[in-house]
Amino acid sequence: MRYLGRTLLRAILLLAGISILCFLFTEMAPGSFFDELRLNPQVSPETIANLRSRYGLDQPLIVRYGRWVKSAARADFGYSIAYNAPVAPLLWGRAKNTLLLTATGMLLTWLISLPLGVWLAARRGRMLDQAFSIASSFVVSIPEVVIAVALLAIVVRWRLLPLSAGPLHGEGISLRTHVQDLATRMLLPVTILVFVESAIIVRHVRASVLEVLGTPFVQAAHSFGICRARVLFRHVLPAAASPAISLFGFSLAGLVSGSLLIEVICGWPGLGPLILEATLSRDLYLVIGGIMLSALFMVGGNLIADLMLLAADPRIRTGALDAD
Amino acid sequence: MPASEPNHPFLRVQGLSKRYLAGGRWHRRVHMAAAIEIDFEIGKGKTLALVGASGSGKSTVARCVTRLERPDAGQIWLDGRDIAQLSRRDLALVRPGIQMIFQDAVTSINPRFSAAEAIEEPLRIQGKNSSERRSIAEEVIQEVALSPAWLDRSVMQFSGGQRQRLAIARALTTQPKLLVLDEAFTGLDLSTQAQIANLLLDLQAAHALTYLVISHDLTLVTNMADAVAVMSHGRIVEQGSTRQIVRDPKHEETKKLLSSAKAAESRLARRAGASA
Amino acid sequence: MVIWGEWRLDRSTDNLLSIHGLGVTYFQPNGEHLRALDEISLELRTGEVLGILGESGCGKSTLANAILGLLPGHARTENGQIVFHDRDLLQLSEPDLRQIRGRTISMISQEPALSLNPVMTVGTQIAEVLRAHLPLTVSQSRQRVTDLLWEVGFDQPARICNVYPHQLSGGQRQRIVIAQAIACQPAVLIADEPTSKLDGPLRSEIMDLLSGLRQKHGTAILVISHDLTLMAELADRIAVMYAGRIVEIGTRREMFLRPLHPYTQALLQLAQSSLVTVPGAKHRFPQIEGESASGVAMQAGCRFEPRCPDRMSMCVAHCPPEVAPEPARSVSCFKYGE
Repeated sequence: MRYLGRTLLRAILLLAGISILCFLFTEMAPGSFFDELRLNPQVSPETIANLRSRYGLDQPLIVRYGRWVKSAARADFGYSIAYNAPVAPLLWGRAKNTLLLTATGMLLTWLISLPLGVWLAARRGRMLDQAFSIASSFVVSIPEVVIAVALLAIVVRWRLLPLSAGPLHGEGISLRTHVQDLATRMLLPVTILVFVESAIIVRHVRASVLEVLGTPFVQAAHSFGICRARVLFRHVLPAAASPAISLFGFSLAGLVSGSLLIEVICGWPGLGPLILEATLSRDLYLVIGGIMLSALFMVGGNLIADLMLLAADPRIRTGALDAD
Repeated sequence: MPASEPNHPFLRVQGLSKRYLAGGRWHRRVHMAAAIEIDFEIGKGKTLALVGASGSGKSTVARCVTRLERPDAGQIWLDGRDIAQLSRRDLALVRPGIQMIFQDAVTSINPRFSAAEAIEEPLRIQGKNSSERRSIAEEVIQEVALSPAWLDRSVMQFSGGQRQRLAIARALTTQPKLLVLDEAFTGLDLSTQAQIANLLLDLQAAHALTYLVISHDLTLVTNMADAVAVMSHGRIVEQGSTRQIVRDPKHEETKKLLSSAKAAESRLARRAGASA
Repeated sequence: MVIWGEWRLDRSTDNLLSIHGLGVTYFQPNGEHLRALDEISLELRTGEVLGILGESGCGKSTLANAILGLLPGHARTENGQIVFHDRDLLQLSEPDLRQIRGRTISMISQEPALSLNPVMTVGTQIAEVLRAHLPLTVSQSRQRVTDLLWEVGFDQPARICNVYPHQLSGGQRQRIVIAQAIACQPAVLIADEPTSKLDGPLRSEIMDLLSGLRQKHGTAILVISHDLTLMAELADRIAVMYAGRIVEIGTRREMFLRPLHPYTQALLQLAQSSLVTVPGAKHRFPQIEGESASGVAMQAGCRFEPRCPDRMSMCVAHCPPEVAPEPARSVSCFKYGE
């Protein structure tokens, strides 16, 4: 219980810290939203000053931060200058799309990677395992962006998929067409996500399982006549779970932030393009809102991972020191 | 600082105490006393055995004497100089004179090293160049009765007993004056133990080495120690010459240790003679 | 005495487990091969305790693993038979061997601390062995686990069931491993260095436990160790191994009173001289000269020859055959020719 309380407290402190840093960095970054307007000789300095004070940009940093925290407590994350609309609904609308993509990707990744990792560890050294090692090293070392662009190029070249951009929900379309449309649009980004993430996760799962396979208690289980499959899944996996759980936490944490670049490249209307645009145009509260949402998922994901570790590993639960 | 005279003890420990923080949360950290008011001395070229059940604090004393840990209180006079509270820099000058051999040679030597690399490690730290290191390595490996031709073999190719000898060779490279052996014989079979014990006795005679032997096993130790100190729950409860301790034990703990060792032996004698 | 299972019922011979001429070679990745076992012949009779005495590296663990078919991939058994209940274990398929492991022949391995799964309760781990072999319901299984824990000396079996290995001491963990091994009432128990990682008082407890098993259930035990006191306490007969070969076999009494092979004599001499009861004076131990034989370069003759105080010229080139100078004794040494 204590452990829980401490972790929760840490999470909250972390979020607060991130928000402060956000403000600091955006303050330090050169330029503001109105820079372009300023260049325009038709707009007078007074108009700009008015606009600035309207959006509260002329207030000192601390005041701005204080105000932001107060409204954040009321779930009001400020106003987007570019869209002239409150930040929260804007973010949330896009976040739903992102989550659709990443959650699907994550589900598929783990469904594939866990068994694959275990299977490869059990067949260590054989052809398939070695082939996988080489392939995954390759994938891991190439930047995600490059892979995404490469796959995109292939898809375009051979016209494998119809590509469209724009909002996902249209009016008056039947459910079936809607789902179909969604699926085709999701195919490319999800494939890229799964491809890139699996390479990493399978390697870790495999390494962790391999380590456990060499331990005396696994040999002992075999020596008592327990069949291979059961030893693998009932004895080895739980013991090898800890690193996998940490990774799962990272996956969760990356639900919002992990796919930003891919969305931009594939034209998926998620948070990615929005935040990119907002950052480039210095749309202050939208940027901060976006970062905080991402941070929320990060911290939340890690928290869940910590809790899962607590549940899975009895040594942490009972505060184990060496009993001898 | 007085230099070590012939009748001055080479190692003298006075009032050594060390506590550890055991588990617990922030405000409930419990202090566990691992070693309390330890007093003993060892003459130059002699061997003291520190015995006791597991958890009695022997290893803590060993770690304090070699300054792997800093004691909370007390003095450790090594050849006339108190090293108990020396700073790291001053300690660096004293360190070559004290070496420790650990229990499990399998884990205290990097299996990926070659024998030469393992032995030369302390010399590398001292900054000696490679030909100097090699010649010293060749010298010490012969002292531990292993062939210099094996210097380039991987440590993995050596058996448990041989690795323990490599650990001794490694310790000898810095020309130490005090050797602390922490359960160095546990887990080895009797003939290997005998080999290593004999090796240590020979080395002691050749280099006037002083030994502090830590063990929970009374049998081997009483045959190679001049004096014995018995520990229980962090304190020394009895100490004296080996002969004295074996013939006339006074404290409960000593009697207990002796009786279980003797019981094992009488079983050996009795069973061997009894009808099958 | 409650005799376990059907093992006692029908047997044509007294020999439960017979090993004839077993040889095992390890093929190292660097091309060398190590002949770990050579011409091993042994018999384990029903209800007896046979001790295998030898230094580390002599092949004792290889023998234990070979019996249960647990040798690693790079090991090959060449020639030889291991006959158990009229079947040659070396010829059995993996599924058949699995049925025997833990059920009729069970093994206790060396490191109790590491032989238990850290993330499973000890009760579950014992239950897993039961589940692999016996068709028990959940409650029957639980009952059996409690009985086993009680049998191996735990006062509060119900509490111990739900405890994790790291919450137990070394001696307690060893008992759990023993509980796992006897869960299905095996006819043969192979104990590989059961006490070498334990100190004094624990050692006697485990020894008592093991001898109790033999007395109560008639289990035959193959004890593998370098510890003479363990042999003195437990074994009915002792087989001495050196460098992959059996050099002497005899009853406990005979071995201690009149060891025949020079190696056995040296071991005994060593054990005698390490006694505490000898007045505590610093002295050298009677050491067997030379390095303990391991590694690849095995000469054709007697493997103990380089270290033997009684070596003769023929010992280098020729391997001494096994002879029986007395009934129920055998030794492989040229000193005892026909």
